[in-house]
Parts: sequence; C-alpha cells; structure tokens
Amino acid sequence: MHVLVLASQKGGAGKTTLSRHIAVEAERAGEGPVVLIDADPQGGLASWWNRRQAETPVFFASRLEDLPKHIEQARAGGFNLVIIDTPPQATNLISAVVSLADLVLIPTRPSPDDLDAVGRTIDIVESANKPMIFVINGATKNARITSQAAIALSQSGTVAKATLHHSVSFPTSGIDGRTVGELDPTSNSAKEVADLWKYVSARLRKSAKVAA
Amino acid sequence: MEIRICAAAEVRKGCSMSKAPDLSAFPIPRKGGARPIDVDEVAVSAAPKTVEEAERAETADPPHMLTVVPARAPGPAASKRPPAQKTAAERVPEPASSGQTVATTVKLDENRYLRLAEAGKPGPGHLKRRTIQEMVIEALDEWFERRGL
Repeated sequence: MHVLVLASQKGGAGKTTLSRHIAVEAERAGEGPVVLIDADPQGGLASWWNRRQAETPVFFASRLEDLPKHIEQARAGGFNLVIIDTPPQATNLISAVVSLADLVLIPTRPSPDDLDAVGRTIDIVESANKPMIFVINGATKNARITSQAAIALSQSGTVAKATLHHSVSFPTSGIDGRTVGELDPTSNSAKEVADLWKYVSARLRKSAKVAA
Repeated sequence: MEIRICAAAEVRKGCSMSKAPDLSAFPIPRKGGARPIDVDEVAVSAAPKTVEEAERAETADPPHMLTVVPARAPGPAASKRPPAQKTAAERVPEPASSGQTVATTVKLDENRYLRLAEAGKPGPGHLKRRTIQEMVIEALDEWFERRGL
C-alpha cells in the first residue's frame, strides 16, 4: 500500500481537486481500493465526498493523532492507496502529514506567485526526507510561462510529465461529487488525469522499491 | 455456487470477495457526515512542543526561492545597468513628437517641484495643478534663463 500526500503552502494550487481525481482514476485503473483523508480544515475533499453518490473511494474520518493508526489499518485491511489532502499555510500540520507519506505530490500553478510559495513546501518535504513530484496544474495551452515554470521547478525536483490544463470541467464535475473522467471520459482533461495517474503510479512503485 | 466479481463500487455493499476490505472496522462516515481533521486538534498537535523547537522554527533558513527567467528576455543584470554617459553630441535634443513633448514637460515639472520642495517652498503635497501649456511656458522660461537669453 502507498500513502500519497498532496501538499502546497499556496492556496488554490489544486491539492483537493487532484486528490479526488487521482483517487477516482486509481480505482478506475484497477489500482484501488483507495482511501481519502481530508487533513485540510476547510473540508473541500470531505464536502466533495458528501456530494458524491458513489461510495468509493472510501473516506476516513480521521484525526491527526489517529492518522498513523488509520494508515496501518488501511494497509492491513487490503487498501492499495491512501491519499491525504493537506491545507495551505499550516506548516506544522503539513509537516506532520508529510512525515507519513511515501510520495508527496506538489501541485503548482504556472505563476510567479505559486513559484515563490513553493519553496516553503519543498523545505518541508526535504526536511522529512520524502520523495516529491511537482505537477503543473491550471496551465494555459501554448503559454510560454508553463514551460518556464517547469524549468524553474525542475531545479528543485522531478516535474510530472503530465500537465493539467485549465478547464471548466474540473469545477463543474465537482458539483455533484464527480470527476472530469466521470463527466466525460473522452475529454482532454480526463486524459490528462489518466496520464498523471500513470506517472504517479509508476513513481509510487519506484519509491516503494527504493524504500525496500 | 454463485460466483461474483466484486467491483470497487460494491466494496461497501457486502461483496464477499476475499481481497475487498471489511469496511466495518474503518472510520468511514455516512454520506453527508464526512468531516476534515478538527482545527483545534490540529492547532494543539501541530504546535512546537518545546521552546527549543519554537526557537528553531523562528531561526530557520529562509525558504527556497525559485525564479522564472524568460527564455529570450534580457536578464535582470542587463536591465538594471546604469545608462552609459552620453556625449555632448548625443545630448542634443531630437525633434520630439507630441507624446514625447508631454512626457518631457511632466518630467521638467517634476524636477522643478523637487527643487522647490528642497528649498522649502512649497512643502510636499502642495504641487499646483497646472495645464500643460503653463508647464511648457515655465520650462521654456527656465531654458532661456539658463542660457542667459
């Protein structure tokens, strides 16, 4: 079983959106069952799950002090992936959750504000000695700043090959607790999410091998 | 004997496939009851536990700073380089278009205001609102004055 933590000190980077999309895509790809845990007090992931008709991915109503215990329970109970969404700003909370991760995914929008803020997240992940991947989220097609952001991020770590481009289908699909793939499996956004999961899945397997 | 293939969506609905987790043991809320981690618990648990930890957090190194350098744009060093000294020939004013005239006039007016402010009259914030024509006339007056004409 793998523990994937989505972290970014910058609000609006796409942590919650990516958490739910990766969870659903992992199950669709047959790599579930997946557990979602919402460590962000804003509760975006919990609200999405409440709106969702499908029971999967399952949601754990955990508490910070119970997180390690619940992760172990999930491991013993046959789950394949635990995805934890974290809040922006709260450095101590992010550090506590990151310490439990097998891999940290850092969504970043291709903007100077996001790139300025990502340094603090990198520090947290590096001090916990955890592998991390950057994902460029909310990119505009054919915009030069996207490749510039990728170059800037690659100086500090691995950047996912899959980039998620801005699409209104991301918020639209969340209205009734679905994902872009469930709204329109043939859409570009659905393909981008599938590509991202393939990449993240491979990295999770690689980091598990290294840890072993 | 009935054989069933358990889909992920059926996990909660009592599918007996051996690989599927028994969900009764997990803290899974009912729909509508899912909540994130409690804020108070977060504040208590996440606070530095000792004074040393708090001090360490305060004196920590500044975070990484990433910068985006446009591929073809001139670097910051180039843009901040002071302009080279102009020769006397270069200082000769070129025939200006109306846009340049307005910009030059405003600059002259600003310089005049700064000189007056340094001399104590008028105080800062007392810049008089004048028309461009007035500013041009004043600037020309000063120009003639400097040349003793």
